[in-house]
Amino acid sequence: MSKETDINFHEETNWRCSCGGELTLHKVAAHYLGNRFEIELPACSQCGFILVPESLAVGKMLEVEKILEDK
Amino acid sequence: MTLPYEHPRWRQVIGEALHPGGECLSRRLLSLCAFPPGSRVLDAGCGAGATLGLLTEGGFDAVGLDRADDLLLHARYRGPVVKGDLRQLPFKDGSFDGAICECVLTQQEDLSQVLIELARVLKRGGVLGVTDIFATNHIDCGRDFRVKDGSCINGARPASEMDEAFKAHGFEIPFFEAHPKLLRDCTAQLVWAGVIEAPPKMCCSLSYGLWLCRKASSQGMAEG
Repeated sequence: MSKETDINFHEETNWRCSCGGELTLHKVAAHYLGNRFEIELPACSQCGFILVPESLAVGKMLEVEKILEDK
Repeated sequence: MTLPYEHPRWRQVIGEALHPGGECLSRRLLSLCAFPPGSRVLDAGCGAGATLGLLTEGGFDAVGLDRADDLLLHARYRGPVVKGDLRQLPFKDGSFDGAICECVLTQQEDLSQVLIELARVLKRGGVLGVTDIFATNHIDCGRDFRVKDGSCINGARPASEMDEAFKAHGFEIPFFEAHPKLLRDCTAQLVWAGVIEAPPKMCCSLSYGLWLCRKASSQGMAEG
């Protein structure tokens, strides 16, 4: 599991995608203000839904957003 | 002291050029400098030699100087290099037609001594191309050159202070442009990759500037 998310969905949760698909780690890319940021995140192998853990959203993602927005 | 760009992943994240804007901005800088063909050009603080490579490929008689052995190991494959200190350049007076200095002056606590040396080794009328971080206001941010947080920003000076320093050492500034987005993009990528921590909230905003400076042709120096 990536250090960024710090959650092991296979071992620590029973979460599945709302479509019923299993969440497995995929290398994904977030794009913001012309920048591309790659990371491994749990994603649904059926519908492609990507789960962004709250710890990441309010942590590093927020930090990077503030930098790019010059806040 | 380990400088931030010496972090093993810095080059992986930012690229060989090591600075905001990467090779694209270096190419713009060289284009604006418009060194005559075959000019002897010093890359002062050449790092891993990305721009030194552009200079040699462009047919210039270029030499790179840096203090870091591990970076010079890479740079030597891009062109001739010399290990040295910007405060005491190992070159004779007036030995270069031009010089470039990319994201280096911010790292220099003694900016005056570095500019004295750059002015000394340039011929009269020689062009100095600079890109670097600068502060966009005049508030004293408690600048600290010890680089405690692994960031380059601690040495950022206000643009006005940079301009005054260039002029005090006999340089005219025929051109300047700011690239704030390049600095934000670079910082964001480094933070995302875990190379540096997010900069603390600062009392001044930062930007990235490109200066073209020309060593005055006449004997007279501007008053500092």
